[in-house]
Amino acid sequence: MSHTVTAPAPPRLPREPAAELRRPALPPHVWILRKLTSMRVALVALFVLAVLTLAGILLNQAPSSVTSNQAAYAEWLSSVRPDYGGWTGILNALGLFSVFSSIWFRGTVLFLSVSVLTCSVRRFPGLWRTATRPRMVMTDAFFERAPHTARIVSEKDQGAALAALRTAFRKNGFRVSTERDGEDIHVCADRFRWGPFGRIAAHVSFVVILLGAVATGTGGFRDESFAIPVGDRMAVGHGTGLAVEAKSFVDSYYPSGPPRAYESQLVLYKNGVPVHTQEDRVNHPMRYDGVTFYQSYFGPAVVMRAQTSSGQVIFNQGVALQYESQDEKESIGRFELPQQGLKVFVVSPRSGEIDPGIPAGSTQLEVYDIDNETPAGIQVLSQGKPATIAGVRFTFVREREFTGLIVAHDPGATIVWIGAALLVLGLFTTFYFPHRRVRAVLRPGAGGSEIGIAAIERRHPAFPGLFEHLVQDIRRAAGQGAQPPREGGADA
Amino acid sequence: MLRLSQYCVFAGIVAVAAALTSYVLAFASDRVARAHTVFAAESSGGTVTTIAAGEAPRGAAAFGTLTTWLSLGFLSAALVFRAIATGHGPFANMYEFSVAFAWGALVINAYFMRRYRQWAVGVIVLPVALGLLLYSTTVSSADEPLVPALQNNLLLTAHVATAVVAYGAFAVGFAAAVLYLLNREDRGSLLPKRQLLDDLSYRAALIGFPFLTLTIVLGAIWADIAWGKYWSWDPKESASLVTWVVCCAYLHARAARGWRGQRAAVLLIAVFAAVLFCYYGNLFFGGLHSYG
Ligand code: HEM
Repeated sequence: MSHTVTAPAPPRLPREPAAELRRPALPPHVWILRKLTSMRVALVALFVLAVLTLAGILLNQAPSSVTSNQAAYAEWLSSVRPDYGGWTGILNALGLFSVFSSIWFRGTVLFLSVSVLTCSVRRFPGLWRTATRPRMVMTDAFFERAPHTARIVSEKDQGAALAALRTAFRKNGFRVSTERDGEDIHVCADRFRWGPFGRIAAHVSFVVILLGAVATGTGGFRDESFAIPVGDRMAVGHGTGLAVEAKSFVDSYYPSGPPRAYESQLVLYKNGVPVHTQEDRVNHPMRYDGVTFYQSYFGPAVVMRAQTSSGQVIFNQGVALQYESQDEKESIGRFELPQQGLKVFVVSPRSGEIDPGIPAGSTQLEVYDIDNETPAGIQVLSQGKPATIAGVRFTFVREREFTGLIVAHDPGATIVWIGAALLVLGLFTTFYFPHRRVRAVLRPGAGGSEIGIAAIERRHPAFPGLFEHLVQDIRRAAGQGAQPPREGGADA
Repeated sequence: MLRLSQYCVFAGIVAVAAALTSYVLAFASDRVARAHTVFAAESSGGTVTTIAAGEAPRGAAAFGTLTTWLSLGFLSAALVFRAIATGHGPFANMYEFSVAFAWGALVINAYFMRRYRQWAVGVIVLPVALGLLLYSTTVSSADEPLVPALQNNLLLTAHVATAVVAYGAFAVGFAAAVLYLLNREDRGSLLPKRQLLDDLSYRAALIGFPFLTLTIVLGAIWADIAWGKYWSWDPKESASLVTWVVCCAYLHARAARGWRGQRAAVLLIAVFAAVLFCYYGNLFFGGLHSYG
């Protein structure tokens, strides 16, 4: 690929007289292809990507829970207005409060992926040819003017010199192929000739990872507030047919105070049949059928019972108090009685808080109409003492804990891992197993033979050393009559 | 064991400071000597050569090299003792990571010291290491037990160990780039030749980039296991991405557009700035609420 080093700057469109303007200098598809494969444009895009990411770090980013709701977003925006003053509107219009989903960010990433794909596709045939069918016969000029050259005069005849050369190359891990051209024998020696394909892998990986990210963003589901009161079973939904029962939850602490472990004993049901049990811990999520259950949070729960006036039980299970009131003094849980058209909030003081209105051993029920905010009744219930609100008899049975899980199905993750593996393998191959090609020509000479050696690698700082080492090995193997190497591009 | 580890860190700090002082003395005496010899040498048509690459350092510089190796030994011991005492890789809090980061910089520095038979890059690497070590003395070195999210020994070790290699490499690349910019004339001096510095900084990036990539990938795997999301654009993740992108740009500019020397050096310095931002940004920018 050395030609790109010396390649002239990409041609600019010449300034043409007005009459000529109707005929563009470059057909548009050629122009677009040039831009797509232009390193200069790619560098600018990478720079833009870095700046945008930096903006995403330094500027407040609207949480995703807010961006989907206009009213909430407006409220969020006014909460950051004091920080950005007159810039708020401009930053908002530019999408810089959601940088990573902004058109700038997505456009840049898209451009880069198309660019690396185009580059890879264009380069592939050349790389393939270089690796599999190199040009064998090189000119004398090549052996004189390449950046790295050496000349050895050997007393061995051509055949013996070739054998020595082969041995020396093989010893250094090179694969040798030869071709006779008149009196001369041309040698092409390669090490790691598949190395450059690591670059293709690294480039393609970028697109694979991106596809994975798109799959993550558009498919699957993620439920971050899946709270199960201990002893209850809850359906996962999303068409999975899965339900989870929490047998127990334990939070343990080190003597000095910090948390040691959060563990839930879970039983997983598929279509009502238990299929799996597991101790679910942070860093040890339960996985089944592509759905993963992460131990995430925990808190208090209350077991509630609701009965109709005829005594029929319409609700009897735990309610996780997993929400917080605005003043952060109360824990709130919620359940619905669809047949009665009611939704019920269960409010208790948070642990450590004291609320004179809700004494210990009691909880407050707020019953609303399911479709609007009309309260049907608010009442404080003592444990075990039923109360009737909106025609329903509620009982606060007892207190419990709930375990909070994140339940996620991410169809993109596997794709991302494949891309990541490609990226890492590609990178290590490119950097640590770089293709090295050294050529030689053997010519019968007076009293033996003459060996010319040359290579054109310019980039890698370690190459001169490798070349030097090779030449020394060849000189040693090819025997006496050796001359000092001519200084090529090799530095001392 | 913890106590022992701390003594080793302390000895390491002393050794680093001694090495740095020796190197600075070596430079200072070289300046004086050069002022005397430069005229004679130039008038006789020769170039001033004192200690160029390939020669063994003498005097103060030799002592500096010795103490550099010593400091590496002390810090290695400190990390090993700490790992034994805590039962996990010594990477779990700011104290441990700072010591490990300094160690990484010294290891990569030692590698390039041997490889290019030069020591001058240490003049910049050592202050970086010293800064990290001094910083480590200001944060708690207590052996706090691991909170649940950190309880994944394999990933904790792999993720941070690769980061230590990557950041160490970038620190050395940064040092070589700075020296490159300082060594304007490339006249014989204690500074290695510009060409060597340019090569060295590039090779440092060739180590740093794959290891940074590995760090990010391992971090994503861990995030997926611990939080169920392989990427969530938190500031540290984003900062590591900035580092990755800038380094990617550096490598491409160099490989495909032939950027060498000055421009490449400036980009590499930017990469190291991004590394520092990545690891210590939440301290400097603590006032910005994005670092919640
Ligand atoms: C993920 C972001 C990347 C982008 C946007 C990108 C973009 C590009 C572009 C546009 C080119 C020029 C097309 C060509 O000449 O082949 C290129 C070339 C190249 N890329 Fe990347 N690349 C990326 C990642 C990588 C990685 C991870 C590696 C490391 C292995 C890499 C190594 C190379 C090399 C060695 C070249 C060839 C330069 C030449 O042919 O002279 N690239 N890249």
